Amino acid sequence: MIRLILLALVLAAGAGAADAQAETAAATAGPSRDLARMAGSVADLPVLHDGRIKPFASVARHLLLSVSGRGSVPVEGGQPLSPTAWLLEGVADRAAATARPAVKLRNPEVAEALGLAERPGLRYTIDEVIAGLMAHRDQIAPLFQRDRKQLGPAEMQVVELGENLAKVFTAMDPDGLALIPGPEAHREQWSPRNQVAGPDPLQAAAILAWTDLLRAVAAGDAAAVEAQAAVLRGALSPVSDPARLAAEVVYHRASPFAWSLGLDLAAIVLLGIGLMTRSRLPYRLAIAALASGTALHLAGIAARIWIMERPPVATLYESVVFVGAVAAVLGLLLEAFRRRGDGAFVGAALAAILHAVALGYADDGDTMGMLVAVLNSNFWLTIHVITITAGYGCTLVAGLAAHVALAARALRPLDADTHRGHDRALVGLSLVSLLFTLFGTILGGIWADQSWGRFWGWDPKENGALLIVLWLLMLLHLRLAGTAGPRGFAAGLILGNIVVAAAWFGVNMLNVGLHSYGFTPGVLWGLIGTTAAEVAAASLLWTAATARQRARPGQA
Amino acid sequence: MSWQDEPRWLRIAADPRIFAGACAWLFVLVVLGTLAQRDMGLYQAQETYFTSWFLWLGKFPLLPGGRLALSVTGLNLLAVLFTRRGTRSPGLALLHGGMLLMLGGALVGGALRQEGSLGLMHGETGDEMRSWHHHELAVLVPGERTDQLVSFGQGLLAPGTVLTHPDLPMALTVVQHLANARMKPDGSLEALPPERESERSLPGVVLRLPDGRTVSACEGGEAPELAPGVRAGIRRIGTRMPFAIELVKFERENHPGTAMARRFSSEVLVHEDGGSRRVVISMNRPLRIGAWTLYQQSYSETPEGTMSVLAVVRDRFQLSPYISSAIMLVGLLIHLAQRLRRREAA
Repeated sequence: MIRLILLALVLAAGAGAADAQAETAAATAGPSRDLARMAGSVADLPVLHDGRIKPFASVARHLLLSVSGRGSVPVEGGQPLSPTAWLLEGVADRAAATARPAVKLRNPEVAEALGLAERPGLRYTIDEVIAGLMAHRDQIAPLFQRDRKQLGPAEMQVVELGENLAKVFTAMDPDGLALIPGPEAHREQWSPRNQVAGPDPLQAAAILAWTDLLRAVAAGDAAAVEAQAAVLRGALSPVSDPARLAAEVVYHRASPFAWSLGLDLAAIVLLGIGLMTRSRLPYRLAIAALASGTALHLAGIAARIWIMERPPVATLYESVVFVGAVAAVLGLLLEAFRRRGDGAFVGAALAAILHAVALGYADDGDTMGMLVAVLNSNFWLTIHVITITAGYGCTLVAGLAAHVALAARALRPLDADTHRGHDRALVGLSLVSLLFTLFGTILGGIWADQSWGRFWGWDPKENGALLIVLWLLMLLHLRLAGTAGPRGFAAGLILGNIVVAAAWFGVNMLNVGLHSYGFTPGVLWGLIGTTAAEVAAASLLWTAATARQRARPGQA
Repeated sequence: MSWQDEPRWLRIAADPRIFAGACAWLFVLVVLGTLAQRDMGLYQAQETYFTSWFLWLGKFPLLPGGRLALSVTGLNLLAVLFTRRGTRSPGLALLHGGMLLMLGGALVGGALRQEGSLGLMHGETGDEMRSWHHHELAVLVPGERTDQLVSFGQGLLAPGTVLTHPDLPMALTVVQHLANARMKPDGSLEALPPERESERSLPGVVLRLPDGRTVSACEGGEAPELAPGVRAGIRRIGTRMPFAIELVKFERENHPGTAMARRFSSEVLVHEDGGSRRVVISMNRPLRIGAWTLYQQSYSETPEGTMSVLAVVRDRFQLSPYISSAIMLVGLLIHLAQRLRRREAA
């Protein structure tokens, strides 16, 4: 068993490494190959962007994602360009880069608004899009003045495209990005080359090296680029963190969460196969897949903690990743107790769903952003956030386990032992969920009291957490009073998933209070979908389980 | 002695279904109140749904409000502690006792708590905190040696009320009392809908003087003259603090290259009991003086410069949530441990 897990881990790690290699591997002949090799040299060079010193590769990823939603730029008759290669070319020779089809429109209406002919894939060059924006500026300019909330979806996309393209265009300039550290007393105030007045030795060395490097890029001299990059790395190492920069590049290339998602899905498929055959092999492989997927999941979180130098769960994206990890770990623990496959299923399913949600958030750009002052590292905040998200995870696991419990009652009404086991597990899970959500909420109050003077302010996010606590308390006491039996309790836990989703994501959309991140139509539809699905599941499963029990009186 | 042997009234009072029902109703109130915040703002929603005894339909108390539901919960918890079932498990007894303590502390502490703001410009000293939500009509009456300040709290400003005071040279009749208003160029008041953030509302009042003239006063506006030297104004209620705070320097640090604040703090001199000391108040690092706590709340850019806004709280029961949460945590952990041990034994 252990050997299987180790084997799976090694395979996953190997696959991750191979994937990282492929990014920088030499491809077919032509300028793409040299750019790819040059990109490999500059990927980890430090740049100040959005308030943080990050590797060149991260800036490139963010900018490319913002205009194309994709991780590469297609090249006719050759290997696609990585974001780093694309941005590097742009900084050294903007005209060449803007002639590449880097932009991918999300909506044919946007192409129409820009006067562009519709193409399959909606891929356009930056030049074409800018020409379109300029040609129709009379219609488009007013959109930028209007209140965002009043714009239709296509109009919003035009505005976002315009803003993001402007940022890309500005970055694609030897003096566009903040490449040079600040003077001695203010090293962290990086600026573009041409804004450095009276450079000190360190700044002068950096300016020189970057100038030579960009010239070498324009000339296609990959060896020179590599040499200059090495010089830069050395010159900038006193004012940057080379180890963390390199780690961030590796982290993004390795995509641990994408691999974890794949392994979690494989686990689910294998568990399904295991249900249909007699052999224990699919089951064992499933556990190996889930365990290695979870290991990658946790490794990714650990990598982020080290790279960002802050505790996990500082942003909504990180909370999604963290809750997924909690669910997977809890699923594995449940599986260790029961060994029937249902614990593993619940853990894998939740982890996979949350990975998918997280990937949706990650596509928006940089997931390693900076935080506003009040959220900066603080003991109580860290403990609060970890506890409450663990609470979300446990409650969701309980909710999903309740699906399994009711389905088992509906499909195998005679298996009283299994049902009793499920019931005990559900009560136990809900008590653990109560522990984390109750104290997570209280810790939130303690943090609020320490930071701005009131323990409880009826803020929507606080209220959301309170709703989960109230729901669990209500269910547990109805169970205690005997008003709710095992089936009703399970149905209640299924509906509890709606409360968690509303507390976690819904409150952010109200545009009220301290936790508002603004309204996103996608999130609203996700919440509506989740609510509908869980209401349907709770009703159908409870009805099925009750009907089957009524047909066989005398069962627990 | 089993559950059935407990006196009937105690069984009813301690029934877990009452707790479940109270939780369910609180759930509904929290959902309604949170959604209502979008339109009526946090303060109004709080007053309507959470801290109220009832939900009112006109003058008719229609449904239980948050305070009533929480009180029922508290009584239920109290009753449980008197039953054998509730105290049989030490873990559960501590959990329920701790929660009762938390509710009680919130009720008492909330009633006695005082909050306000202190806005200081560079070099300015303040020793009064201003209420966030409550205002008063303050009338300055010049005297031979000292001036008198007579103030009437907002509760006294109902239309038709005649305001008198021994130190006030004339009687004032309240004509109009507005929650949010704007002073028009001709000196009269224009009523505005209340701001969602209630702190931003500028209340106003229209007064009739004995000679029949009417004058208007609005927060933030000119203080009209009622008689030679006698001026009236609307301001947030001030509460004197036992110390004075002088702002020496307000610092703000952005994340490099952005306009997003990374850190902001106020370096202040605390003057009390004849002595002074220098302290830095920053985000997540408040200043505590006895039952008083000062927090760096925010700042605002005014034409005269940057104003540091400190939030001030006076709460003698500040430790209550900490103590009760600790008790609850210990209780729940003990209970869980006992369940696990019972399960292994089974």
